Parts: sequence; C-alpha cells; structure tokens
Amino acid sequence: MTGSWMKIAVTHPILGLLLRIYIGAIFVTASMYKINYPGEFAETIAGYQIVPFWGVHIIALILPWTELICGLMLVLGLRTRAAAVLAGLMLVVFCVAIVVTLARGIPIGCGCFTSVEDPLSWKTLLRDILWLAMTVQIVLFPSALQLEDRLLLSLKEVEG
Amino acid sequence: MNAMTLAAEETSLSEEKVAASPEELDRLVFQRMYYLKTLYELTAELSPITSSQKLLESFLLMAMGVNGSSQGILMICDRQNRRVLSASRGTNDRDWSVESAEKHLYRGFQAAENRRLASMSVTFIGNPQQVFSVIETGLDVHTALLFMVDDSILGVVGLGAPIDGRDFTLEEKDILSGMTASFMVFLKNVRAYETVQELNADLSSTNDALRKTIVELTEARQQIRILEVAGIRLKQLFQQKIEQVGRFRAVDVLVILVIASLLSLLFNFSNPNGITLLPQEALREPASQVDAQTVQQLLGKGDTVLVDARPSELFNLSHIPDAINIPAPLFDIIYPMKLASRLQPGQAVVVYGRTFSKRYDEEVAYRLLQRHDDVRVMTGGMDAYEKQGREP
Repeated sequence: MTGSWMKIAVTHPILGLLLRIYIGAIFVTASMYKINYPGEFAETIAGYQIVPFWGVHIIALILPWTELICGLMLVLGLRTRAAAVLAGLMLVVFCVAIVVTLARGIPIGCGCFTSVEDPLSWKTLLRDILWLAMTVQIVLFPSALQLEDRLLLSLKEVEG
Repeated sequence: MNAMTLAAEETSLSEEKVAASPEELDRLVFQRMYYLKTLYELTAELSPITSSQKLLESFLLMAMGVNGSSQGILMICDRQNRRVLSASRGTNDRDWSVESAEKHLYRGFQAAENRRLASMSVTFIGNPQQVFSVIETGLDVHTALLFMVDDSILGVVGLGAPIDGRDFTLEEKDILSGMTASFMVFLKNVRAYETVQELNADLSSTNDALRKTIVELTEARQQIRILEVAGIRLKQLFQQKIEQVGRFRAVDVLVILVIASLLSLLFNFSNPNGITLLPQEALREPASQVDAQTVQQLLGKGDTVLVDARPSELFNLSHIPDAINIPAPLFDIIYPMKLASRLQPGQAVVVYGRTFSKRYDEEVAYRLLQRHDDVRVMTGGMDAYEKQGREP
C-alpha cells in the first residue's frame, strides 16, 4: 500500500512540474554570472585541471549558454525530455569533476554559480547528485503544464 | 365528313345515274378516274415529306390546283401544345397567334355545314367571306374547309376564287374533301414522326447530359480518391508528429548545443568582458626558458628571484622554498608590494607554475617582461625542480 502511494507521488505530473521549474530555475540562475564573465568562469574550469588548456575558453563560452537554454526549456516545458537529458549529462560531468578534484585534493571553489564560493566538498557532490535524481524523474515521468501538450492537443483535434 | 363515306355515297349516286344514260356514265367514270388520279398525285407528292410546314405548303399548292385558285391559306392550330402552323400563297404570309387562330376556327365552326365534326373529318364552311375577312387574312376567301385531325388539332383551308371566276363544282368540292382527308393522314404521320424526332433529340441531349455527368462523377471519384490518400498521409504525419512530441530525441540535444554555441559566440563578440577562443598564452610568443638545474645554480648564487604564478590555494598547498606567489589576477596589487621592492638591479626573475589546463607561468612572465628584461620560465615546473633537488 505504502509502495503504491510512493509510486503515485514520485510519478505525479505535479511533482514533475515542480522539479522541472526548480531545476530549470537553478540552471538559468547558474548561467547568468558565467555568461557575463566568461574569463572568470574559464579560471574556474582551469582550476579543475580536467580540460586541456586550449579547450578551456571554448567550454567557458558554450557551457553557460547550454545551461541557460536547457533551463528555459525545462521551465517552459518545451522538448522537456531532451532538455532534461542534457541537464542530466551536465550534472554527471559536474559530479565526475567534483569527485576527481576532491580525490586529487585540489583546494578550489565549486564555481557553480559565481567565481567566489566556498571550497569544493562532498556536500557539493551530494547536492549535484540530488539534482541529477530530479532530472531523472523529469526524463522518466510526464509533467504537468507542458507547452508541447497544447500542440499535442491541437494535433489530436485535427486528427479527430 | 369522311372521304370514304363521300366516295361511297357518290358511288351509290352513280349507280342510279348509270341506269339513266350511257353518256352520263362515261362522264362519271372520267370524274372518278380524275378523282383517283388527283388523290394518287397528292399521295405521291406528300409521302416523302417529313416536315409539317412543308406538308402544309405542298398540300395548299395542290388544293389550289384543284380549281386553279391563285390565292390560298392553310392554318392548323394545336390547342394542346398552343402552337399554330400556317402556309399561304398569293397573299402575305401571316403570323397567327393561338388566340387569333382559335377565333377564326370558332367562327368557322359557327358557319360549318356539319357542326358535329369528328376526328379525321372535313366540312365546308357555309359563308367563308364572313368568317375570313379580307382585312384579317389579306385574302378574299371563296371556299373554305374546316377539318379536325383529333380533339386538339383543328385546321382550316381557305381558297381564293378560281381564275375563271366560276364557283366550285360539286366534284371539285368532293376532290378537295378527299385530298384534305388524305392530307390529315399524312399530317398525323408527319407529326408522329416529328414527335419521335423530338423525343430522339431529347433522348440524345439527355444522353449527352448523362455522359457528361458520368465523366464528372468519374473525375469527382478520382479527386475523392486523391483527397482520401492525402487525408491518410496527413493522418499518418500527424500521428508521427504526435508520437515524436514528448519523446526524447538525440537530434534535439544536438540542436540545443548548436544554438548554444552560436549564441555564445555571438554574445561573446559584443560582451565587454568577452574572451578569445584560445587562451592568450597559446597565441603569444613564449618567454625564454631555463631548466630546473640552472635555476638551482642561479638561486644558489643569489642572482635570481623565483616567482610562483599559480593561484594562492595551490601555492599554499606546496611551493618551492623562497618563491614569491604572484597570481596573474592579483598581479597589479602584489607585484609592487612583494617583488618590485625586493628585486636588486641585475637580478633575473624565473617564473614557474602551469597545469594541464592553464599556463600561469607564461601569463605572469608576459606581465613581468613589460617591467624587466631578464624574465624566464622554468621548464618542468615545480616537479622538475623538486626532482632536481632530490638528485645527489
């Protein structure tokens, strides 16, 4: 009985909607500072010592815009699954980077939202894993108030 | 009066006269022959005709020939179909209206010798001049016959005075009656033929219309088939689209990445804080280099100052003893405090510190070279220096 209630709660479209807006908003917020100050974000990326030096600037330019577009698409409910998959992939990369950096013992800030932040910790990793779980929910289950649902409805009307 | 009845009566009359005298008999035989010849000629003349109008004209001409009249009219009124047919000779052709025709026929009936006219019968009109006034018909009618083809078709023949001015003889009237009776038979046949023709024409036009309708229907059916196919395709397309919506597609991810790349490049171009696609250190001429062993010797002589270009977090973690930490972002603040004051004339500056992701040393060396001539980058960084230190 408890199991079925849990299942209903986890797969509920309203939960999907809330998670979508939450994750979308986080991505939009995270992208803002990075888009405006790509130089500082490049320093942050270089701090992780994962990307080769010639690729740091390119990633510093493209990654924040990808975050912004994914975030907006999640909030609007446009191509939700594709946006959620891409957001999830980014979170996976972030998690791997955090684990590697923590293991190497490099003392740098996360650089997730701004360039000046507390140093990376296992808490940061835990937070990112939680966000990753939320994107998985968005990918797997339908959510309410999707922009595409309107389109789907009108298509069905035409077909009918 | 029927022509056959007339003939029969005439025959019985002749039989009485045969008994009277042989001369009279000859005359009667001649009359009979003339009568039959005239009917035969009429039949020969009228039989090939297939049009009512031509039949009327031919018959009128032959009727006028019986006593040599120079003028004549013939009018038929079809009351059922409200049509009047007429022919005239020696007078102006008149366009009869149905009302005018009926009026004349009525007057004719009033003056008819036999008022109880049956189908296919003929009667003379007693006083034709009164019935057909000269003003109305343009003809001084001398003799007139009324005939009834059937209940709806009535007709009248009016003939002018004979050329020699004499009246019609009884025989001539007899012949005229017989001719009119034959004419009625032909008229009936021609009208039947015309009806058949009209019906055929109707049928033909109906057939044409039907054929056209069939062609149109066939075209319509083809159009419907095309529309049906289009409808099915549209439906399939819709179903495809419906299935695609909400489903994950790799191409969407690619589109997002392409849009993000384009937007980022476009925005970076106009961003005052924009950066180059490749780091400046990769684009600039590298500073002159020195190996770790030489640096150790130089440091021993006290001719060299060592600068660690890495961020302070990494410097704090580990660094070469006596090295001064000047990270590039804080260069303008730290350089005057820590290095400018300490540096003696003739002393060289050696910079170290680079990672897989960033060449900090090149960046700081570039800045130092703006202020000092002897600035070099230590190859191998801290690792090479420490390795050198461990060697005997």
